[in-house]
Amino acid sequence: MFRGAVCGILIGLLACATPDPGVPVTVLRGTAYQRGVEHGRVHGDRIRSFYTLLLTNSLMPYLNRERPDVASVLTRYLSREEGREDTPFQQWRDRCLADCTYNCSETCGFSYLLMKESAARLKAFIPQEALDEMQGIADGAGLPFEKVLILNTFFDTLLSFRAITAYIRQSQAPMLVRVEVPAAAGDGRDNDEDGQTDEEGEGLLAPFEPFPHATWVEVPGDGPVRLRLHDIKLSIGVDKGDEPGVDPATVQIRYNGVIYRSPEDRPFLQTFPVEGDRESLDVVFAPPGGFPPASIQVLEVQAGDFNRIVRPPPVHARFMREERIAFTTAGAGLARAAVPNRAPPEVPVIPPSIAFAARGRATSDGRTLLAQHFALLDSNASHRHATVFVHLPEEGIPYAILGYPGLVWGLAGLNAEGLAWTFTLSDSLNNPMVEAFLKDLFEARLLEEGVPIGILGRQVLSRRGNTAGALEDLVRVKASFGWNVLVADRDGDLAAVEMDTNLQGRPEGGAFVIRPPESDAAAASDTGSQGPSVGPDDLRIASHFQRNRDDLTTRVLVFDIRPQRTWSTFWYRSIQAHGILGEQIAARYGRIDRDEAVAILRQPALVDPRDSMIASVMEPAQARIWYAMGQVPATDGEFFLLDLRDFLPERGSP
Amino acid sequence: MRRFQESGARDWRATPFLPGVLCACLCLAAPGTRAGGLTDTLPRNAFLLDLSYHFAWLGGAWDDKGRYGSLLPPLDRYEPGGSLQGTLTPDARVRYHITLFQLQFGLAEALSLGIGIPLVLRTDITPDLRWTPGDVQPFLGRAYTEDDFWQWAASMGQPRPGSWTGNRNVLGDVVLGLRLRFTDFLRRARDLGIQGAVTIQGALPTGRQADPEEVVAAGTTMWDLQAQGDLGVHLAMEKTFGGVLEGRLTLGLDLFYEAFLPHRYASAFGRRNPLLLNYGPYVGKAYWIDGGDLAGAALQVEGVIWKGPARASFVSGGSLDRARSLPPLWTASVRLASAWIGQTDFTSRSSVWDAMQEEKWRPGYRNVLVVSTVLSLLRLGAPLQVTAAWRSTSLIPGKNTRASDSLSVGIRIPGTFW
Repeated sequence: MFRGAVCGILIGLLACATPDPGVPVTVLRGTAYQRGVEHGRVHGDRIRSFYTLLLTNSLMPYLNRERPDVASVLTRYLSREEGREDTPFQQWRDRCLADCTYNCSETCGFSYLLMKESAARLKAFIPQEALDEMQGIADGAGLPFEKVLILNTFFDTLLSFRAITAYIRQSQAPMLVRVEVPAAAGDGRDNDEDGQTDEEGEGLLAPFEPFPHATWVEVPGDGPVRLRLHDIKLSIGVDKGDEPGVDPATVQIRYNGVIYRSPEDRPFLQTFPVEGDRESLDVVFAPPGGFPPASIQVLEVQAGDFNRIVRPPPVHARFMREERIAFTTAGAGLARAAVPNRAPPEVPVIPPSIAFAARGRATSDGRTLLAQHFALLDSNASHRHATVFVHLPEEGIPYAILGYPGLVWGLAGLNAEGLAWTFTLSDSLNNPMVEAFLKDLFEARLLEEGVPIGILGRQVLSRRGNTAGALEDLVRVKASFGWNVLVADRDGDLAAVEMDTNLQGRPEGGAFVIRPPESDAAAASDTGSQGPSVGPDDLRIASHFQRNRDDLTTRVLVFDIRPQRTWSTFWYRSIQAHGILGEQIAARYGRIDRDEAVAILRQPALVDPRDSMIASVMEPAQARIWYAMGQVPATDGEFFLLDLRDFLPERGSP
Repeated sequence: MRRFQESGARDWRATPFLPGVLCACLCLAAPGTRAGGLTDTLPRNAFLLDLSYHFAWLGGAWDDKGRYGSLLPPLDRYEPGGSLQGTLTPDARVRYHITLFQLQFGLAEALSLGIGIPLVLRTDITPDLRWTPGDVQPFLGRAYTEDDFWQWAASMGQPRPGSWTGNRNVLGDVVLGLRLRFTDFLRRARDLGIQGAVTIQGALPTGRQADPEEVVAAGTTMWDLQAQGDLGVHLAMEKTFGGVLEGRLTLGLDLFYEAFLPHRYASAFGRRNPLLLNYGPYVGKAYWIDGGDLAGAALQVEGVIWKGPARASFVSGGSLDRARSLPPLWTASVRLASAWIGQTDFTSRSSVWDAMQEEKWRPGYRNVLVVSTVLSLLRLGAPLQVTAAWRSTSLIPGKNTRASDSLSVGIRIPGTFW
């Protein structure tokens, strides 16, 4: 409070940085360029350290490792290391090294090329005001504009790239293609809740489909679970294993906190080759004593292939994503939707980013609040650079964002008219890099497009005074990746928006708007506990799509491009966090206030202890942000108050 | 060289001092003509040449909670945006081999000047990075092994730090010291058998800084040796007990303040260690370290183990009485010093980096135990003393300080110029 007041008093100054509690609060006034210059002047040293620690020393070297995998499909990125001199990448690198005098390992690396080219492409989608501010930052800090642009766009580029590389890896790894509980076939129960009992294939899930809830219910516990794993050989790039198929020695099933492996855990876990199909492997699992009755059972399955990938090191087989299957045994008496597909308590699951909004009957005083906790990447760098920026623009709405030096955007923000905004990532192959692949196939160039999500948020905060206005912006832009956005305004209007690039031109566009249900009954019927709301006055997001469940399904040559839930490494983590968040909200329904919101954010099951970045509770009607930043996890620290009205003439009146 | 007895020695207690500065410099106690004279000065025109070899080793540190642990804090390594790869615990071991040349000279009966020239013969550092596996990595199907991790690091251009040997015959910071035994001018103090001296000392920046591009390396400056400051002042008092003890026991108290001056260091730009040592781009070409000052007190007990026979010789000018006033044959001392350590300040172009470094050099304290002994042959007619000492900061817990130990042996040759 005092800090804010002091800053507010210093009207004549462009900037005010406060020393305590270690997270600076910087007030920026004037035109976009002027604000940028001041930003750069005040934080020039922190911009440099943020860039070096996060990009130069962490992300870029890490992404460089991915080049061989990428080049196994996108051949323009092959290099001399693969015996190719004539590819665009190698030629660019040779030219770059010939001209380079400083920091060549970074600036002539694959990841820098990726970031630089994508930044240049994204520039066309960035509003001029944001570009002016970036130019101001560059001038104020004495940095090249290119680096500031990369800093402001790497996030979007990184996530699209991460998605496509994860997909490329997984397309060459084993897949779980079917799961069967044979005992369900004749048990006299409707195990799959399709209205039929013991119909053909009742205990069979083929092709395998990950569910946010139980796959079957009331399964006899005395029978095994049979799984089939399949590994296709692309015979391109680095996927050149001598033997096709799944390596039985890599198969493992985690059950009740115990990992079963083959062959040491026979007879509980057994593997069988599939006759005439070298690419498949059958796995039969039956725990000691069978599955206990009247209980929830969860299996987590993983396997690798026969490949021994040398680059990037260390030497490894290609491993599939760990798949999780939940079911209940006879006597549990629960419906499928009532059984969340959740890891057992003894298995640590790192939650991804989450956010929720509450209003009316959900809160203690009927006022609206929006709480968020963003977690993705710390690298011992992010928390040291967390910064609050208060923008008092010459034109437009004053706003505050929780971000980092050098960025013109933040992970969450609030404006003086009472609009709160935050977002989470939501892995999607419906993104611009995949778009390039669909168009140019093996010759595709990895280029990011669309409005960077943070810059979109900044635009919304500086131009829109309520949720309805925000939605107008959100539904009309080309998204740079898969995102979940949550907005709430002072009047209690809540909305979540699930965005992707809409490669297939869906009639409804690339944005799915989710509103709270109109009644408790509607909330209860909305896919049960997995729905976006507990009741009519709350809304929550995690890092998966709730409405946009089939974000992209297509086939290109040998590649099946599939929806988020089938490949994203965030998906199981996200549905679990989303479910727990819903339970926490439900337990406090009607008494959620700032303290209760903080208590929810601090629930251990909702806190990423390693890559937590920024947490906050925003009160749009009071124009207040309670933020926790500057430590890992962010929620371990105190939530400090930023009252936006302290910075406005006559304390404003949002 | 004139004979020693002609230097005007009145009593063995009036025999030369050794600037404490040099003792601390090498993490060792280099005794005076006694085992640990805090207030000794040399007679006018007398000198004392002291040659010693020091072996110092360092394998751990006292942390912020006073717990003994690894020299550097364990380092959790994460997959960027992902799970724990594992924990690196640097069980580093550092060994210094040093020779120390000291020369002290009596400017007046109560005023002596000393110079100490440390020559580092060799420094060995074994990083011994112990690996504790972290989470199972989904893409690997296993947790990173130690080899896995270093392969991973190598793929990003970061080699595994190996053992390092360097500083071969490299000069350390040369130390100058001046001691005034002021109680010579205080009759009352003399009557009470109390001696007091003030010593000031300063280091000349002749040592070598560590190579900034090396992950595992050490320099030879005062800052690297971490035992005393660049400038220091000591106020010491000693009381020798007569009566039945016959002067065989001396108690001493030393109050001191040591200050580090800011020094400029070159930054690393990742030329050899692109991931671990690449702070130059944001720190700037150079940065400054203003080491945390040391302030504290030392208590010392000194005793004569064996006074030994005396015989008239050229050392005593043929006088048996004078021979009997020369230092006892064998003395020993025990000293316990406690020093408060101030916060070290880093100044560079990056406030973030400065804060990160300062986290590693927080305020604390250290407790130093020194046991030393002197075998003096002066009474027998040989102008020679043999010294030995053991010094430890690892025995008694401290806070935010290195826990080093050392052993030394040396010889001293006293004499006069005229």
